[in-house]
Amino acid sequence: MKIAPRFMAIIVLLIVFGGIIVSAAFDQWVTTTTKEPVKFKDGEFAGQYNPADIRGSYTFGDVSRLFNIPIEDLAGAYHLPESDPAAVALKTLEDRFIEYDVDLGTSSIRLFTALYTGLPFDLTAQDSYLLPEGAEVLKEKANLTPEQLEYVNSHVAGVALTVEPTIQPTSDPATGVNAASTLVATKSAVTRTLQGPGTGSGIPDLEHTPTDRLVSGRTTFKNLLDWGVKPEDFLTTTSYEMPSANILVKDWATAKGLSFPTLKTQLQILVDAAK
Amino acid sequence: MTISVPVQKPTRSRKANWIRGWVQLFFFVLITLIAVNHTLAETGKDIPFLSSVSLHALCPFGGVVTLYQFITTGTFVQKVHQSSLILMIIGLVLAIFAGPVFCGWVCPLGTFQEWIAKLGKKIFKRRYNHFVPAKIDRVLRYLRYVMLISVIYMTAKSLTLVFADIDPYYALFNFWTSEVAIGGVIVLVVTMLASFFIERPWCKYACPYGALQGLFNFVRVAKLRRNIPTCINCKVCDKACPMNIEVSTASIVRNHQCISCMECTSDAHCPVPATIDFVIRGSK
Repeated sequence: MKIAPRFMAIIVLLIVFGGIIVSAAFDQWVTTTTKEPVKFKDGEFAGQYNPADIRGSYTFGDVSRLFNIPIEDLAGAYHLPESDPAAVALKTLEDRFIEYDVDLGTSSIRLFTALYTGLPFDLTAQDSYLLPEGAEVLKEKANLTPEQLEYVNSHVAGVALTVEPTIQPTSDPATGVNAASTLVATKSAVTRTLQGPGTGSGIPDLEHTPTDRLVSGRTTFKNLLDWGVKPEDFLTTTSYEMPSANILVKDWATAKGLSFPTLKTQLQILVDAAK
Repeated sequence: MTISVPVQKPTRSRKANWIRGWVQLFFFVLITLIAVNHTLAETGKDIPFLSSVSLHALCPFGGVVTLYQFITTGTFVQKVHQSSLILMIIGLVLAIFAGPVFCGWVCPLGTFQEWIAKLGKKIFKRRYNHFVPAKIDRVLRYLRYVMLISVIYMTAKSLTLVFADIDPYYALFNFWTSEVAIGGVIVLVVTMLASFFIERPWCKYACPYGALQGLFNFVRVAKLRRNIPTCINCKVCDKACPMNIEVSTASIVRNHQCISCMECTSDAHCPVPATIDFVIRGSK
């Protein structure tokens, strides 16, 4: 039997859409994630959800429900909006914290969840970072081993952050509190949270400027020189000559194919040593 | 004894397999609308009655790469959904029936490359699709199997959708979002540029799903047969083939690169009736 193009077209449409319709009829056409991570198969944690399988399509509410983490702790650790933090999707994190030059996406949540719950997690699998507030939550609420504590301390994101404060101007006639005073109070709270560090809380100053001797994505080679890093030390550490002063270190590292987080750590040591 | 055969003058409708063009356009528009609607849905402004699923859910190759994890753990690779597995099965059914029909009739990336090819053909005329030396071309054609094995292995090992980082299909329909990997955009741009010189370069040299589909050309039920007694050796079929297959030298086309587009058949470019046709096995 010959198959004409028209017949082939019908066959294609019939099989494609027929297949979808039949699978949908049997509830097999599933286009969304089940929002249930894989479980550990054996060992002490058998039957518990594996935080390494948390996905970007989950919301913070899903993480809270699946891993029994209070949503307040997650909201505090990731600057979630006061109104319905549970509805925030994990995949929006990268955009929220785009100013950071390290990974603060879903992998950060996986790390936070694993450390918070004490579930097994391969710290070497991915270079994940935490917000300063997240690190504080873990130190306060999780039972971290010395190795984990060291990891947390060395993986706190600490560069400039541009976060719009979540202000909900309301005026409650019943209480007589006017909108202006609510605004001021809320904004103050946000400012305190964001600027906590340099104020003795141990969290780095988020209003970062090139003068604070903190190597970040905005650091130039001129900053390094100003902070006392010698070109010969740079050469010894990186095996590269220090380039033109006005180039961003991050751009240079990218062009050379170097890992910026690794280089940043190395340069921070040089900066600290040059004090 | 000479056999006299009626040679048909190509008409507009026979010159190109127009119905395939419409089917391709249909799937391209459908996927574009769904991709746009997916973006709109994230802001709560999605178009009603139109699906807004992620494109990862509409990619049959996702079903292939997640197969190992699905069999061993019963779960899917991140970003892949059960619908990918269903589409993989649908693609498999089509492939068993007539080879890589999915590539030639459905795949929007293939369609996109063919549209660029139309421009390339106008610019380079007969030189189009013949820039790569035959010897090099022959070797490069197996690259997609290297790609297929690498992607399946790396996905099984990492349990992540590694192909998403270089996927031009996803980049084409998501270039306006932040979800696209820079690698995917680069591969897409290279594919677009290459399409001005080579027809379907991604399909020929790199597509892992095409590689898998191509294997079914050896066993497909409906076969592309050339009727040798009526063939006038005009080689129009060779010129019409977007994948540069020498149809004029085969009695049954089993080349792993055939995409079942039917451009070489007597219903399209072949000027002699009933000379090159898709026929069910055993029939004449």
